[in-house]
Amino acid sequence: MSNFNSKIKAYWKKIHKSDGFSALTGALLAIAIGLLVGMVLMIIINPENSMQGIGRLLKGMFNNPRGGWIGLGQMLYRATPIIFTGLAVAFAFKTGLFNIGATGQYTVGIFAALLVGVLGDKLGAFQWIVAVLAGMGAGFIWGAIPGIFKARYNVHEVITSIMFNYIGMYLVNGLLNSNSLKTLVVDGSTNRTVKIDQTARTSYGFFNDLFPNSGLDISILIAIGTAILMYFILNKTVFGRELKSVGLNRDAAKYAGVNEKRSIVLSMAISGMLAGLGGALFILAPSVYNLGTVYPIENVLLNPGFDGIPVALLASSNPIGVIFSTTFVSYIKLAGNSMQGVGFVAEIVEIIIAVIIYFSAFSLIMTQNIGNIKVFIKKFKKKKQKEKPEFKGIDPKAGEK
Amino acid sequence: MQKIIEMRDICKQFPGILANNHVNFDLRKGEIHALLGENGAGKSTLMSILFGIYLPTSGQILKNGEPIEINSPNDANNYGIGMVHQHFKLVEVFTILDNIIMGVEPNKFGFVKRNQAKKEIEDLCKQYDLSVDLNSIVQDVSVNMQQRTEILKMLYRHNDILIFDEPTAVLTPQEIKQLLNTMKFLTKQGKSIIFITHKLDEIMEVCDRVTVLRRGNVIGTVETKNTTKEDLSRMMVGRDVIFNIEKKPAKLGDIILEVNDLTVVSERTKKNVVDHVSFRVREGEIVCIAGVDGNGQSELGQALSGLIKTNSGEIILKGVDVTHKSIRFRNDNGMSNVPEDRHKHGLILADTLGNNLALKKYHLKPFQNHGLIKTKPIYDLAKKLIENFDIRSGEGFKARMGALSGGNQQKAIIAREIDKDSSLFLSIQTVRGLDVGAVEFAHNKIIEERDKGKAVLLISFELDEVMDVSDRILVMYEGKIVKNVLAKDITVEELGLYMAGVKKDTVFPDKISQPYTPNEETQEEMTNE
Repeated sequence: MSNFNSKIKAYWKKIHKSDGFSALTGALLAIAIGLLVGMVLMIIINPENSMQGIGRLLKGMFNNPRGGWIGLGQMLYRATPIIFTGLAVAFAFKTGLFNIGATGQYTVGIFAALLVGVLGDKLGAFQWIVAVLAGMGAGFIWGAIPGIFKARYNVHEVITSIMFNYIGMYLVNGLLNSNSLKTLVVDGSTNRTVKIDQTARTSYGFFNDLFPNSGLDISILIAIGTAILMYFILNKTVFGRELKSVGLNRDAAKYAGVNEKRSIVLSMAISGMLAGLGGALFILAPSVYNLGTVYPIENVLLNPGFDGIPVALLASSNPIGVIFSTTFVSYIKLAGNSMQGVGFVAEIVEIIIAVIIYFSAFSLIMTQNIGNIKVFIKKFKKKKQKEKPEFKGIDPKAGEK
Repeated sequence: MQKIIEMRDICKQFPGILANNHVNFDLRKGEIHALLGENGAGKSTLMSILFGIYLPTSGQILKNGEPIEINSPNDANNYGIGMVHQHFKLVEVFTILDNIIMGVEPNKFGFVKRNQAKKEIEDLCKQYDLSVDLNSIVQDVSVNMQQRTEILKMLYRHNDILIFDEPTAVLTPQEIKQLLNTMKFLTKQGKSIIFITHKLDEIMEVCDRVTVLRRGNVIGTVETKNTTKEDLSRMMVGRDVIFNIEKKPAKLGDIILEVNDLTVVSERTKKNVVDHVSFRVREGEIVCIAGVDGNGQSELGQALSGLIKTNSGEIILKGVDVTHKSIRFRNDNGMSNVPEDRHKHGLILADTLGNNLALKKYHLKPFQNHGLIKTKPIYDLAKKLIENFDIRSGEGFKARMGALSGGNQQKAIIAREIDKDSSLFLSIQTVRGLDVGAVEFAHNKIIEERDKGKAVLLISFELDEVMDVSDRILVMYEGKIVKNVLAKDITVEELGLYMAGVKKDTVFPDKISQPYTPNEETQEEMTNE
């Protein structure tokens, strides 16, 4: 029995010391602090309704009037595109790059998939898969360009990818408004794109029975599969190891024989491809009640691209972690929607997410240094007990010798 | 004699390693006190505690018998403690004057009174016999003058306890002599000096006392006049160290590395940093490129390893022209390379020791299969190398590379490169930051490689290494090779003259790299082929 205990202890120690564990506890701590800040804020803003509001905040998707089960499906449906953009950002982070251009890559992904989905009716059964591949390809190219600038001319990828967000968005809107496309893919009365052909829409799979009319389709399975694949590539393959080494120390990777320029371009391109895939699956989704999804032609950068950044940060760029952090963010966003019913603005949720991101960086440092904090507290207590002035950090035995 | 600084019972605990274990250390007024120890023995930690970079886990520091509290380098400065770091802390684009007064500028209403400062510093220069050109920009002056700038910085701040962290590593023999004289002179003026070095000759020459550390413990403090080099090294390493490396005569074989008319143009200055260099390295010989730092050796090393592009000339490795081949091609086809800058190029500090030991191999079998990394062979390799090369790490191969001490990081690189079993072993500043025990070990390994028939090319700024290890010496001065000579045919003094550019020869790349024959005359004949 004692042997068993010691085994558990050793196992616990192993887990306890691993980076993943401290990342997880860090994230949970940050979430707790973020929710707490949000609640305090709600009490200050609107004391009367605060209890009701907090209840809705905590209930998240279970506020859904059609029942929590449908809410769950809806949460996953909403999470799907953000999982992809989160994976895009996380993948770039892991390889030492900050891809802030996920929204641009997401937009060109939507555009490419849309064209195939609307105009490619001759493709028949292949229309869906071609549309998905087109979205991935568009994202791949859109990610690769900042990568090429970074690798060849050392232009920082943050600057180029921000600019490529705008270039992408205006280019897509411009092309949609061009004479040749406008009549074909834009619905003039709503200034939105027309709906995707039925043959090109993503299948509901068994989700239609499981979560009827929640909008959830098999994209979520593709998202989870992609996350696992990314984790596998980064951690188990030579290719991933090389990308990661370039991220950790570009010079050393070069010295060790990695073609670091190619790695940078590929990292950005793959990151862009993930965002593009997210865009494609978003526009191809059959959506709630099978109405289809549309792209509004407005000069605004799309949100899912930016939401990818906080979820990647919260997950410490772990691809598997991204699934969970996105689920949480999507849960709390749904809570934000229903909080409006009792007189709170949905932006409180944005504040909570911001606080969580801020503290997730901070708490990671805290959990990694828990030992040091304990020592510090001990010292502090000792100092208080002995009233006489003493040199900080003295071993009490030192004076006696 | 009066103890100006006393460190009592200092302990410093890092994760997995006790860097200082109840260390007692004292510095008397007006002495030079050497701090000696192996890599990772805790010297730097101890001095970092004294200089306020680390806080001790426990222990006490006293100045003139009064307990003091040092929480930051600023505190240390206020207590009159100054430090010359191994890597200088100077702003390269500022003048020497600005560097010296930085942080303590004499001013009136916020306006810097440069003239007053200049006069004060000139007085200091006269008083301590240190010559610097105050108006020069730091990046334009020699390493030697940069070091004097660091010393003046301490003097200008009225520091009377001076810590020198391996100050002689970057200097020529002549400059070392000058520095040691300056140090002696400073103590005559009432300063007290702590001198961290690995070089026992220097300790015997200038120090009054030596404190030896081994694995975080003080082994003892001895008066220099009562001890010998052999005793000190035994205290330090815990066994006898052989200073004169025994080696068999070189058995030369085929040419492994052939460098023809190689030129590298600096991007910044547009000058030829490597200027039409030609030489050969054969199987079974150790060729050493000597020279003062900054004469193009670094660029030559980088060009050979493929890190920078060459502008003309060719590099032929085992008969294959690799001038325009990728780094990976060179790595996989017979080049081992210990880079000059271990943090920038040699290691991925954020990764584990095990992964770093496999850094150049993980893309080869058996470390991968169909592109999938196999962890077991990597771990096995790491365990083997840690064992064979005595790499000390708190948590084995899972330790983060950055957590290892500098010497152990260097050992890891040497282990990785020797393990590659390449036909050319190119090594730049192999023993930088290694202690005598580790230096002996590394040198023996290199000679072992030579005896196995490998071609070894060392680039070194340290004359001891050049003289002890090499079979043949090439001296580089201002990008050119100015001397090509067998090690046994030249003295240290003469080598110093070539390194300083006083003497230059016309060099024929192949002259002495002919198959080794003990008879001088036959050798002359053979060169005429």
